[in-house]
Amino acid sequence: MAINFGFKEEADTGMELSFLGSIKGTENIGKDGTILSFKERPETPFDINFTLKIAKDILSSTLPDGDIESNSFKNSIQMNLFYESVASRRRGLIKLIKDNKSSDSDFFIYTLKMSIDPALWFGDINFKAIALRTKECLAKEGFNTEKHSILGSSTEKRLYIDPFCPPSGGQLDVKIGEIDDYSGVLYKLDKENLVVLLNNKSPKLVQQILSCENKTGKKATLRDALFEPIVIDITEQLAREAFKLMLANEEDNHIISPSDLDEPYKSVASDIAKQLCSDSDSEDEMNQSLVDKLYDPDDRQEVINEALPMIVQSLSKVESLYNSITKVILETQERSND
Amino acid sequence: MIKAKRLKKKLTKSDLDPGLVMAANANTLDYDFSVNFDKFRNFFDSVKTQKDLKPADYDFEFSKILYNSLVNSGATDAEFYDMRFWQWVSLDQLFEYCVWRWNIDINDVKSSHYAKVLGGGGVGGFSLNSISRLFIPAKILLKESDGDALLKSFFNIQQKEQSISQSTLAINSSVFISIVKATENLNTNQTVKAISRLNARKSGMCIDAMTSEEIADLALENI
Repeated sequence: MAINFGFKEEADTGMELSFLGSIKGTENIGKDGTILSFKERPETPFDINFTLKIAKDILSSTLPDGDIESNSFKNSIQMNLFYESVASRRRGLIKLIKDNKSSDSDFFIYTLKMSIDPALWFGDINFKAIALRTKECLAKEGFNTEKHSILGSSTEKRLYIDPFCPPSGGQLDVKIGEIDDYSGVLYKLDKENLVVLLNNKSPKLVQQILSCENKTGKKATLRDALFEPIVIDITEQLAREAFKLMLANEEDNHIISPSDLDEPYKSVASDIAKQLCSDSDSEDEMNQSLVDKLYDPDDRQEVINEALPMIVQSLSKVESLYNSITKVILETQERSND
Repeated sequence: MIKAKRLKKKLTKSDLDPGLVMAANANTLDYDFSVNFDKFRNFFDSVKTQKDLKPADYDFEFSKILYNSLVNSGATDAEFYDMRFWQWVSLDQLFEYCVWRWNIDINDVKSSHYAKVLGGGGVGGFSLNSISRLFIPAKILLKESDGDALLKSFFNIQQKEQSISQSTLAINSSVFISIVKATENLNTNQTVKAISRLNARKSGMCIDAMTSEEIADLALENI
């Protein structure tokens, strides 16, 4: 695979940040040791040891002269640990130290010990390593040569100081009930009780299919396919309600973050933020980007009227479910023709 | 003087009784330091009936008074960045100010009013709570030699306050100071533009590593 010189995304693949050793009292809640959480909030200070492994060939491809062993590299590129904790209002950089003994011809190894006083930290802390240009170099097309430009960054690691609580209440129950306010409707989102009501006056066959509890088989396939556009619409309605809640303090110029909403609005708005702002590095950044977009009246209109209908569709399984039901129908048809 | 406290758990909307009242069974924990909000209350009493200025016009004065009341109280960052402390201050100590500042009708509480006493957890969480929004900027800015002027300019335009408070960059206190300095003489639109410019550049450039002058140069380019 060819490397696009100077593009940060390529260098990212060559940087691997790890927690070195275990942190007493934590458990792994993410994939591959990405996220750790204390089981109980720690009361005494503790250290976190980090190690950063950099693939030399990939990082060197971000340099105009490609020389990763040169003095110019040593004097102008610095490896830093970037940390951010929104709930603690703390964010900053700490320089990583090169471990010459552990580095070899293929990889540079950097290490760092960070001390944490839990009294000063809340929620979670996100960490990532960044390769930072500390001195400007001669401009060359396709390369990040400006001072303070980020040549590459590792994937993020997260540590929950306050024990991680999995989100709850993010699912809505579906019930058959009365819908009096409009005639000829199939379903309604009952925002007060947070349930999806299926109209008990709709055709019985439709009710039977939509409320069938089979896990597999044709009926289940048909139910899932018929239900998915309803899921898409309900998600859009929830997203609009979430935006309304986020804008409740608009008159004070304050847009509430998705992370401050209650479920199910929190999950819906966060999912929208992830899709809409996928180029942001962290969940907090994604939420913040959504806040920024809702803050601007033009961007807000674009999000609500153009992006939202597409995002809720892409969050759904409509394509694969329609594919499944189409196959079932065609197979059934072919068999009856035989 | 009163013994400082915090809520045992961070309260949410459902923990409040009607009228934004803290439920009688809300558990609090005592700190080992005391606080005195008399100066804050006295100033509040002196301005609350004045009609010539809006509550927002007194943000700078309240911010300074609050800072001076708390900075030598024995409280540390562990309390200043703990929303459970600010919830206790807002709901138990300075509730009348919170209601007055946002013109809240406690018989007709709107959904937006809860955050004024409860704060939030996101990037702008501390700027939502009526009291922490006064303290945190003062704590960061008043250490500067021109701290008074910076704090005044921060509260001068509400949109400026919110744009800065809601920027993830401003979580870094040094960047916070640099942004306030860079936008000191800008109007609302220019401020929003400057902060948007920094936000737009942050994925490719490390703003946290920049000096105050470098941040100003970047923010003010083409303004």
